[in-house]
Amino acid sequence: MRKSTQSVNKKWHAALLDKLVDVARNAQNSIPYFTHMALLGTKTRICNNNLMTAIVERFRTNIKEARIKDLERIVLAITKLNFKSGTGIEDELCREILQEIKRPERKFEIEEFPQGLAACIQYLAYKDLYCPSLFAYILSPTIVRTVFEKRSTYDVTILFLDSYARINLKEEYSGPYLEKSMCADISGRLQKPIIMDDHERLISEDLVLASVSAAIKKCFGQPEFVHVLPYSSTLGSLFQI
Amino acid sequence: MRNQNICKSIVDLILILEKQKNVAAFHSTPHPPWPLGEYISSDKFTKGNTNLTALAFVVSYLSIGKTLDMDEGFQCKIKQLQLLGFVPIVVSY
Repeated sequence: MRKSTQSVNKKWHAALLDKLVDVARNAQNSIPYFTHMALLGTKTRICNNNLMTAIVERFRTNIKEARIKDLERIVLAITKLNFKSGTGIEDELCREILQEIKRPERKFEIEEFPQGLAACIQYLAYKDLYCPSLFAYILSPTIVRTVFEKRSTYDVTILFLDSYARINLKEEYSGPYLEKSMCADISGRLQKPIIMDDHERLISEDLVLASVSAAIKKCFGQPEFVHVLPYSSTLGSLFQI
Repeated sequence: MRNQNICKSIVDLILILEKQKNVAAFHSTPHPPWPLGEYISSDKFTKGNTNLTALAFVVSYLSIGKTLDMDEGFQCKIKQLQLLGFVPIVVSY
């Protein structure tokens, strides 16, 4: 279920999440058990507030036993579902996670799993929670070269971190950035070509783009498309000047 | 039908904005194509000596049960466009 997407009946999925609330409140299992539960709604974008509240509370109680992977995944779930408890516990947990990953006791785990750290600080950055020194560690040439250069699954993560450092942290970040050539390579892989003509091949968001483009062309002439944010594939930005 | 309505709304919006001073859309300003991976800030758009307000249309899929509560990654993207000086206009479907 965690890996399935549109093939899952969403009403059925939502009902299942409801049934899991009591399970989450009463289970005594280890943290990874709750990580899996938190991720259940992320593919189908269904957020069960009671379930997420129970899971977040469990994480807060047992944060020290959570792996970097668990911390990364719970922040992913919180941000992807835009989970708002009403009491702010999700924001408290995210702040606690930022402090937790800076602890010296996490050093060896971070050195062994820098990808997990990178993803974790990406999702924390969505909430404007960041630590410049962690950005500097991940964007250091050594880590980039040995860990990320040949792993395309982390393309969005590493390019996002670079963009966040350049745009959001430009006044306070003085660490390394990705090399221009690497930014170009990664964004070349990420950015889908903009297809306007072959309507049979277009997915929904491309159809919207194509329709807008056709309307603008009729009124004003050929519009121009640019990927303003290099890590954004296509769902994307077009702007007219 | 939905796409036609979206198009009409956007074009109507552009026409309204175009009537305002210093907000211009669809005036072609020659500029070099941006290299891949480089960031574009809106101060690069000018007409004569005037900086134009540059609009950025961002297409978004609305998740079930949520109206304008887009996920925080998307909200971060919108904020970055604002920091780059763009006016983000979200088109949802």
